[in-house]
Amino acid sequence: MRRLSIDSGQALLAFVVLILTILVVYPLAQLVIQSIQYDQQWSLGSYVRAIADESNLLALRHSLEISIAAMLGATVLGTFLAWLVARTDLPGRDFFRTAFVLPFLIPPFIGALAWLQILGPVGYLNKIHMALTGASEPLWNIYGPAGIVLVMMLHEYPTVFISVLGGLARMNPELEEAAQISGSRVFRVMRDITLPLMMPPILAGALLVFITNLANFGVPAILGFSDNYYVLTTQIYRAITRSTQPNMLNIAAATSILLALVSGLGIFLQRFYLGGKEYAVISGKSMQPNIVRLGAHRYWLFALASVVVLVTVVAPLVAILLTALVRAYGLPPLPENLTLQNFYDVLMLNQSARRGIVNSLGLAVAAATIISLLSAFIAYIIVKTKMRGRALLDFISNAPYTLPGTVVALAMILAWLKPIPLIDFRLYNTIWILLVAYVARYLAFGVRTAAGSLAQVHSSLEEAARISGAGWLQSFRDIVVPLIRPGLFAGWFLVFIPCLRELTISALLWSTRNETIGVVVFSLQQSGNTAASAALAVIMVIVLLLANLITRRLTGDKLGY
Amino acid sequence: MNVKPFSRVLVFALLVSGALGACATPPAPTVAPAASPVVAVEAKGKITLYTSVPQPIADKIQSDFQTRFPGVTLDIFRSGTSEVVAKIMTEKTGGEIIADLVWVAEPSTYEDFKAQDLLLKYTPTEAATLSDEMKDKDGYYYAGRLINMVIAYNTATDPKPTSWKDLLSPAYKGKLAFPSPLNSGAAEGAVKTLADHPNFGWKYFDDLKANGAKQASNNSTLRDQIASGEFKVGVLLDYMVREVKPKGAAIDFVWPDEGAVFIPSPIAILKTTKNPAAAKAFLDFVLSKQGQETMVKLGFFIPVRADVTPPEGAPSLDKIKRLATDWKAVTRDRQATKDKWTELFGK
Repeated sequence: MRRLSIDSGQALLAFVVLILTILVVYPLAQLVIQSIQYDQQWSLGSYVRAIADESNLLALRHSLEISIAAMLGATVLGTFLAWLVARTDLPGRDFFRTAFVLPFLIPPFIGALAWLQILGPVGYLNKIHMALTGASEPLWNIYGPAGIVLVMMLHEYPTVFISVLGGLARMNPELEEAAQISGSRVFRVMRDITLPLMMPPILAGALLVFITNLANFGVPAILGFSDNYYVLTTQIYRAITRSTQPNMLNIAAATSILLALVSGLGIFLQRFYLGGKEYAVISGKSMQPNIVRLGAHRYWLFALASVVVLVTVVAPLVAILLTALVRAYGLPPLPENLTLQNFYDVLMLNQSARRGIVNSLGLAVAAATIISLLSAFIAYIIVKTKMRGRALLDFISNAPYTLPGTVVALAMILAWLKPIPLIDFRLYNTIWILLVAYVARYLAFGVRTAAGSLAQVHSSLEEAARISGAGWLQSFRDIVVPLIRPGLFAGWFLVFIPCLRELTISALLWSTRNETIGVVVFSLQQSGNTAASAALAVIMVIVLLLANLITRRLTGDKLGY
Repeated sequence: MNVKPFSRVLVFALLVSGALGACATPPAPTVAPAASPVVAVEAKGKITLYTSVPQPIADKIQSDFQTRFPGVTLDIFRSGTSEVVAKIMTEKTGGEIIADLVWVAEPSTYEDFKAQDLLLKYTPTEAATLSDEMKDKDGYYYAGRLINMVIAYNTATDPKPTSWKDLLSPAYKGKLAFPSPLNSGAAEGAVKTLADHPNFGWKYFDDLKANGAKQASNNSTLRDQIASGEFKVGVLLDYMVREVKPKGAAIDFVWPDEGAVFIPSPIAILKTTKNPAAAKAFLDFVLSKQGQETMVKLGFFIPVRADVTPPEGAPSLDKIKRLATDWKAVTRDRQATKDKWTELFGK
């Protein structure tokens, strides 16, 4: 492999390092620095206070409890459904294979909003129950830990589902066959052969769910705040947005580092179980798996699979749509109470909702475009050169996505609250802080896809260009970029959609006129405008579905959630 | 795959943003600008208001004000009182307070701000029309609206409550709520007022707790919870009920026999404002006859001026029976009130 000439190579590296320093290194360094300051002095006072605060310790316990509980639920459900789809003759398997991944389409906080309409104290299901039985108490109240676990579980089981599905496709089915030939029964084979062999993908999926839930903000915010139930992410959010104590930001920084450490432990374990392999890659010989005949079981298992789809996808969407259509919150969704007024209100009267839609689209386009360009350079250095420190580059570009969003947002506040020296420009309270945070947050998506494409480009093509006298930049522009364009293109969408649905970071960084659609839905819900927030949530889901549809069309069904 | 689809998407996204952006101009005014008595200095430029006034009302005030002063762009950050205060404090740490005006629920916050020397002293043109209880004697803040903590109930509730003492009745056991003073400034004022009252005291809250009272995260949420039947009764702001009743929501309220908690909800100009002319124009606008008429019509507030007719069925300022509130004591004992509350109802 040819190495870059010294000057152009160093210029490229310097450029990338500068950008990454601004985007990632400086904010995270600020987070650490501010956490070891108290009263503008170097001190561990912030940590002492963070840990001495009982509500922080309680929040840590809550975080672990709900993350573990939701992980267990999602793992059992995801593993079982993957087995059902991949290894049995369940009717409609192909439909379910797609349908079981659909919860990924709905942002978890919208899911929480929707479930509130079903199982909130006056949710539709509870109202029906009270009307039928004459009971004065709801059947089940979704506020609090159990509801948070339920919603997280229903949103995250596809992670395990996909992981195990990949594992099953790679697994040699001869072992299962052997057991079956030796006379073992269906469920015995599953328990003694399939399950133990599937442990690595199951554990990898489970830990990914654990990390995701630990970092989740929207679900515990919507289902926890009014019950005064806080987890670490919402506790940090509360400290930043409500506390007026001195040194509040320093203590919040210390608390965030606590959260980052717990999450880091989960990531370490996950990497450990993966053994450094990307589990998503399906490789190996293609083998015809042994299909288990379900026999009479197929009927109730089909019913069960249908219920899963109904409960995870259909019910929440219907519930939130009904609430959006009701004239005044609390009235039953009967024909005489239905109106489009709420949609009119949020689209026509509420300026912040309209701005939120515009801002989110603008931010998503901008972040996706910047990341696509930037990741071409970063990936090039990581994959195609032997520059020292390129592993570090990889690590740095991954860090903001690996860390919980709340931690990243606080780092951004601490880094950009004061004006930037020399140019005297303040990012805080502008839309630019959101753009910087989004680019940092989703950079890993772009780099990963660009690196994947680059690995397939043989160096000889580039060398040919260089031998013919092209400079490095020219060969990069004319040879490398066109060849990896599909990868950059895919990376663009991989960033675009998550930006549209972002809440965790935006909730801490938005300001007047710089709202995002997620923030407006969340604020409306928090301030008690349930009907308006439901209407905007419906609009948000429609926008996401459209974006997803376009992605699928343009990438030839290769991408999309 | 070629580059074409990519640029198509870009163009599509830009078109959508552009189209939406084009509709983002302020909607047509809902109130025709009457000849205003306010003779302001030519106000122009940009001002930012940080407020806890509910979103729909904030939206309407914004468009009304901009119609009256076409040269001024008014930005509004709307959130709960505690979030608004925290944001101002964070900005102060960063070295620049963005807000030009602050308008939250109750006076005690302004006593804090005054002590920190954050407010600008200003005598609005209409200051004389306000009674003493509606303004700061030092001239830093003026009530832009009047809100009252009263007792709200779901219309299906029987019997209906009439007094604070009624909340202790077994008829409402486990089905009543008080907004949390940890989040709501109005609720904090109400808690302190009742706790300092000889006939109630903290014992009243012990008794509420014993009757199964819950705490609600904020006033708007509690309104929804009462309207939907989750709670039968609750302590709530009067205008919030007036706002949804005409829409058919199943909620109503009573003025408690012992008196309501009377809360002048002040506006002040921040000392750090870069556009004092426009900020003063806004304060004058809210206090003007037209401004208060708008507040009545769109926000269902009881006007702060005697010469503006209250909303239908609502008493005028001087007819409201009220409990005495010492706002300086609310400020002074803030931590103690919150601690005591947390001890009883949790965080």
